[in-house]
Amino acid sequence: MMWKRQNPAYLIAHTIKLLSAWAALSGPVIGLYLLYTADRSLSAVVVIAAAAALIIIAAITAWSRNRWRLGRSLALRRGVLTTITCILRRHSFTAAEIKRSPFLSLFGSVRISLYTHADSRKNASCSALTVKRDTARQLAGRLMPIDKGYTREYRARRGELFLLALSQSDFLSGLLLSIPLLSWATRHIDRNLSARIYTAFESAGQLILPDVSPLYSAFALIPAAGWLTHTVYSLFAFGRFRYVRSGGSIMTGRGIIVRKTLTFPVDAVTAIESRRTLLTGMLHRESCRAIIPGAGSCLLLPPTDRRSSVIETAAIFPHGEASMRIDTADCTRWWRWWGTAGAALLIISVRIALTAGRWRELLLLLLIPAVSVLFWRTLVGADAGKKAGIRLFSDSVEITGVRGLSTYRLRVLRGCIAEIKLTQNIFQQSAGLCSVYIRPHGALHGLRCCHMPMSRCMSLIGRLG
Amino acid sequence: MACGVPQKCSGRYTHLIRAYIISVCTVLISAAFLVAVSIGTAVYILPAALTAGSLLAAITLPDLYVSGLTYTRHRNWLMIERGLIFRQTLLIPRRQIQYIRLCRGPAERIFGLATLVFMTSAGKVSMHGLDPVEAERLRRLLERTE
Repeated sequence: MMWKRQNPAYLIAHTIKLLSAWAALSGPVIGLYLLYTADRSLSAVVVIAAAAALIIIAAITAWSRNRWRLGRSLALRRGVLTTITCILRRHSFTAAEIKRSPFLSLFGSVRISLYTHADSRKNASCSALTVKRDTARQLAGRLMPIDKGYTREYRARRGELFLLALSQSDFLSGLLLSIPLLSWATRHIDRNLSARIYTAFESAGQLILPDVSPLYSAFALIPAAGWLTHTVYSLFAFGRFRYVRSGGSIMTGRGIIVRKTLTFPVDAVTAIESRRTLLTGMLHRESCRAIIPGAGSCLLLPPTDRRSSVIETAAIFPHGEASMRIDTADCTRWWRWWGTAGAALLIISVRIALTAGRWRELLLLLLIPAVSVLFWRTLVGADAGKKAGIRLFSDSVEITGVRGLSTYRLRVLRGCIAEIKLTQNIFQQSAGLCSVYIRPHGALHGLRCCHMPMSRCMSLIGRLG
Repeated sequence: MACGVPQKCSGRYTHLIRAYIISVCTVLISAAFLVAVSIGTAVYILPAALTAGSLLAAITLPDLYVSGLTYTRHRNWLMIERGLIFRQTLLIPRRQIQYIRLCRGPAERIFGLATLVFMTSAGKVSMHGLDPVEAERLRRLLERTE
């Protein structure tokens, strides 16, 4: 087999990446130099042009040396001075992801990432290739063949996608996403955009909170704006979601502008995670994700009704015979502490609101979100408390608990448990309780179930062994 | 090391922990003393309290910590129990152990100790304070295919 080069789209993307990294690192230094020395001579321009040319030559050399070959195994070769050849055996692949972006579509190419049995995505860059669309399809077909068996296709409805976007958005990610967008829009569309947005926030804030000063009322709207931005981004990222199960293979596709198609065999799935937020819980729905070593967590189903989710996940992990169940009243008791803390903070907030101190508005701005989060956590804890526990099946373990502000149910195959941790603080030691943490192979985070009886947990571990 | 029997780590590990506590506290006490001298007042209560606290910690903590540090080799699992205030029981499936490294730093060589580092699919797990012969034996036992 001949060594093949990657598509020229990779060269252009790589050059832009290198040039922007160089501009970000050396731009301020060059800018300051030109500002203070007032050097407008030709030599300064020549030096900058030479540096840019050097970067372009380096990118071309790297691209020409970056080659791949598919024989009995996939071989990837890269490096200019030191050549690195990476050989990946066919049976070591767990998933293949084809990414199609508008930029790559201009060249008729796609980016294919091949994931192996690694713990994280950090080794993925080694096995990502930019190739023609047909080549990518052939490559994925040969490395990750799709079984021609019983086929079931599921397309997410608009309402489900909206619920998914709404339930998995957070304002911090939205704010982080909006910073580059805002800076780009300020530079290219309107120089006074930031000032205009602030004025709009101020006037909207004054309508909602007329007694608060304009600055604080504008700040109060920032979390809502961040949340909205992330929701819109999630709608684009998960739009046109499609799930196809064909025989022993699963294929998921998502994204409106950047389309990502992930293919993986059912055997590669180590765990299935179901998530219930307060909103989806009220609508009796839950979303499901599959844990795949190397590729991480992949969305299987957007918030659908519990029955459909159970049927669909049972097709991937058929339920074995249940042999043990641990759930205790103790795990429902502790959410009350969050509620007590929230109530205490609420009383303090009301007292502050009634006084006319100097820091009144700032304190209220900090306390109101804290009270909201604590009450939210209380409600999630109360909801999860009814279901929290561990169930042992003949082939798997199911753990239900709270992570962040959502209730999760994690079902791990017995042979795919990477770690079990039992933790006891001094209060739990005296009460004979413990917190159980189970992490499946290939997942970044596991799930913790708090305040379980230590003796029963030890007997569960004995049965697992 | 029998299967299913909890094992204690080496008694010399208490000396190593004691040495660590004393060295960290010496730095802290010296810094507190320098601050007290530079202030120029007779505020020596902070260095004195630190000295007393570190002495108490160096005497009591290592023995308590080491007495609670056990490891058990089961047929399919390796169980490590550790911690004083937050007691932790860690279970590592044997089939998830990718490789085992036996480490002996300068301080450990002085005290005649060894550390076993397990690289698992969940990350790195270290087992400190082992006797070198025992550590080597445990490594061989765990590397043996089931």
